[in-house]
Amino acid sequence: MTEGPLPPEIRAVIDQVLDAAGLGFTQGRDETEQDLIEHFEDGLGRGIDADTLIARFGDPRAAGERIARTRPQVQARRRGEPKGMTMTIEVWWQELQRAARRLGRAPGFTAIVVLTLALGVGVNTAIFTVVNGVILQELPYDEPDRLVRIYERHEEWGDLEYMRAPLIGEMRAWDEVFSDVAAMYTYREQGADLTDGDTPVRVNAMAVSSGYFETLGRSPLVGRTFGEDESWGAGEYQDYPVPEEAILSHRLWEGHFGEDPQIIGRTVQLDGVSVEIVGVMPADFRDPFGSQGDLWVPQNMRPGGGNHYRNFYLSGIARIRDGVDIGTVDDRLVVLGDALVERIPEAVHGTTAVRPLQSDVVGETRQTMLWILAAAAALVLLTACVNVGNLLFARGLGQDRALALQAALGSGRGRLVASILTEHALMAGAGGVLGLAFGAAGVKLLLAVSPDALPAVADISLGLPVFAFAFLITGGALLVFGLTPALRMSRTSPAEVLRAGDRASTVGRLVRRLRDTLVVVQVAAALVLVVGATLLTRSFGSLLDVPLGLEPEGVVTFEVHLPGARYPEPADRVRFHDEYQERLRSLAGVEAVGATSWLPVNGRYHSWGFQWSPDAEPGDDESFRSTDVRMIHGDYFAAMGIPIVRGAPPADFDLEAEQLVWVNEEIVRSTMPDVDPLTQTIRLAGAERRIAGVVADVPFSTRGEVSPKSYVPHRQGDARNWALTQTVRASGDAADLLERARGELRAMDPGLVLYRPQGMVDLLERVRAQDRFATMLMAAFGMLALVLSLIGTYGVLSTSVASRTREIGIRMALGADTKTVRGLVVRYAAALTIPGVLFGLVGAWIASRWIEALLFEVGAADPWSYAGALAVFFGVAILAGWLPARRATRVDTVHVLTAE
Amino acid sequence: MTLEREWMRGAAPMAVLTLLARREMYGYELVEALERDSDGLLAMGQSTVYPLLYNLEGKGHIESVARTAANGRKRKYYKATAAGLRWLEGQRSQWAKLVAAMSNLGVADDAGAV
Repeated sequence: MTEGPLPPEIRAVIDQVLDAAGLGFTQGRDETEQDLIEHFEDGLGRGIDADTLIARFGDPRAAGERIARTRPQVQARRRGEPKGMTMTIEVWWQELQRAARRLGRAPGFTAIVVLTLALGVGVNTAIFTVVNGVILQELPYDEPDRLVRIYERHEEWGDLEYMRAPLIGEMRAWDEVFSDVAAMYTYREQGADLTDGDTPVRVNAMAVSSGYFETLGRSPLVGRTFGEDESWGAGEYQDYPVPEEAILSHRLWEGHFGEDPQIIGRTVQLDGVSVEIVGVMPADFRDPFGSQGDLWVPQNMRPGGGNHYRNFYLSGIARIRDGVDIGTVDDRLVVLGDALVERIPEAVHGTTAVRPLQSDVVGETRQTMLWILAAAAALVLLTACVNVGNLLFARGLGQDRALALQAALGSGRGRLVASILTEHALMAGAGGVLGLAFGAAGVKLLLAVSPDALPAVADISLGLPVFAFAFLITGGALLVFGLTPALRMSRTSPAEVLRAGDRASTVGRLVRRLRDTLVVVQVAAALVLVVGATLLTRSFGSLLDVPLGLEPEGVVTFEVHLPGARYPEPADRVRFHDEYQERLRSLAGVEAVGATSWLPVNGRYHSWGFQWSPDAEPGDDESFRSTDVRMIHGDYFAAMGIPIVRGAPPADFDLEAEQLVWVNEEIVRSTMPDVDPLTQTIRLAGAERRIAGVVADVPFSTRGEVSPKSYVPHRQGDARNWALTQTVRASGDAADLLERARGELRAMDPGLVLYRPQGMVDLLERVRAQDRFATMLMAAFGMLALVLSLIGTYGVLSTSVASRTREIGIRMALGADTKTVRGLVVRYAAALTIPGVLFGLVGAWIASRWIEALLFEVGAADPWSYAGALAVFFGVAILAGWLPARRATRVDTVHVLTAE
Repeated sequence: MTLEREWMRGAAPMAVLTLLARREMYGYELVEALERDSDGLLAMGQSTVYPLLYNLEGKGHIESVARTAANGRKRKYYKATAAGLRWLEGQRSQWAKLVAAMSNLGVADDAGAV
């Protein structure tokens, strides 16, 4: 029973104590309140007035904070819990709540730590997810490490080449090396019109030989794959001009046929020809290279037609026989190849070579790029960890007093450590969750930004193991860095810390040196990234400056595929293109119209042989040369803006009268440097052709690589149904132009599809995707690291100034002017930055050897890149030093010296 | 005169336990006793006594019991436990050794001389 209510001012004191203690009801809140009530009632009962009682009681907030630390121990003891390191869930929960409160009181600090962690975790999750998906993950085939791509190689021709059909036929018998061999016609995606009802849809038809799916070790979901006869059966190539069977991808089966279970045996029209659907592949099946097929048709491998020893056009793929060491395959192939040439002399070429399918699909440059980006991301993680460590140290110093107080009040070492651990675990948790979100968004962003920079076959989805790894590293760093102050604290006597007052706390020299080292590491890592980013940016800049020998602006391109059923004869197709181009030319704003069998700067394609010698002896092997062949229709050179260096454009010639060819300057340079090319005749595409003109070199890659190239008028080409890409140079809105072009196409033949419209500028952007991808990411990483190191340097300098306020005050009292004081801070800034920069330069120099593989026309030791990065870092040092230096000069001498 | 914080920190638990080893006391009573029996030297801010009591109770050196006082009010009384007495014994012997050592050094004499 109480003796009436307490005076309100006493009640207020009790409330303040309880408020500061923040006890939960299981922590003895009510009992504490009762104790306090009893205390004051007893006091009042002795006739002491409220004001005196309150004064004797002391600071209620301080009392509350101490009670917060001691009261729960009583509760724990009563529940029979042993004291010390044994932490119950409830104690952890308490610690968690308290930690959350503490962090809430330092929102800026908490936000920076959490954000830094999240960035580090996010960046690494995103990059390593891509690396994991592209490089580390096995291809989705049976025993993928036994799969290889087969190439032909000619010493003089250099590059790896496509394969000849008869050679693949022979290789099927080389079963001491291969257990399966198959071919794909990935030379070009085969657009085809699929009709199953009224309107045709454009699909990507992939021609593959029988044994393709078996080589990859994948079986169909329903139905069957292609039988031996369907590719290799009896008869000649010419006997099977069109495919008769098709296998559907799951995508097409689902999207177009509604997963019809009765699909097998159904007949559909493919380019106006009936094909029977014999199978459906499972949803997770991917073609290893080329674009993904919507459906597959059997590749005709029979002899005749294009299948001879002079036509290199197939992608070979094979499975190495069990027990055969993949490293010995190339040597065995030399022996087998020699034996073949012995038997069939016309098979002679160079050698065959295999390359593991995985690295072939990923590509060496791309693999290097991804590893470099991964290393860069790891450096970002390092700077993030270091930054967090530094921030924690800075906070740890400030916390020393609070911890000392806690220790003095009887908190055990375990409890102290636990209290810091929970605080850090909380930040690590928040950073991790946010990092996961960043990572998920990052992966989406990477895929959206550069779908063309990554192989289609890769299955890229957010890697939880990767996330866990990055999270563990960062969280681990957080704990280690964070724990140091706690352990140090638990070794130092609390009294010592408390006696030190506000002065310097216990900035052990060791700790300061550790913090300095962290900043040096951070600056060094950031410098490496910035140099890398500068190198890549400069390299990308020179990439954009590569002369392409054409004018891409204002050029719109699109394909029109003429189905063989309705346009059976070459003359029909030529007539169509003549008329259609005429219609296009008449559209408003159109300046020139042409067509080509392959767009420029888009990779090599159709490498054929041609023969040239001053005497032009047909069949003379010595005069055999290689050239990329383009079929052109209409005013292609004008439409694409390719200058004619010698001779005249096709329009100036009667193409019915004489077989002609236009060659690029590279052919003249490499084949006939000493003669007037316009007087020469070469044997190409089945005819003797007079060289009617020489055109400027147009590279086949964005890096300006040039190959010998010949342009053959479409109307003089062979009988094959060329899928031409129209190229229209026009002023005005491209979308509007395409709409009108579509209208003209519909007017001519409503069954035709205007396929894959794109501006030439877009195409260039797409082929530069990989370089842009690397440059953008590297620049982002560099920026991130820069900002982090700026924060780190600033943090160290400003805590240093704060902890030396007294020293600075004394110096100023003794007559040091602001310049001297500022110099003090600036010297410290320099002492942090200069070693960091030096280490960074060494690191960058080492790393640049590696990055060289990605660079174009910029040396790995490019002085401008290094100079630029250095300038940036001096800027950072000045920026980081500026505020602390200014603060130092504003120290109030009197205030500092009279304090304490 | 008052003690510096560090001295207080070491002395206060021993003082409290010494008082509670004699007889059980309630909070305010203890506050008064500390003040009176130490000639005011150990008169800490009264609020400090409660965290100290909680700390000692948490360690098991003292325990609390609810009793009804003579005037019919319910009060919480504290008393030393067996463990607390053992701990106090240890503290006392350290204290005695410290005092002896300090006397041998002549600390008290010097203090008087200054």
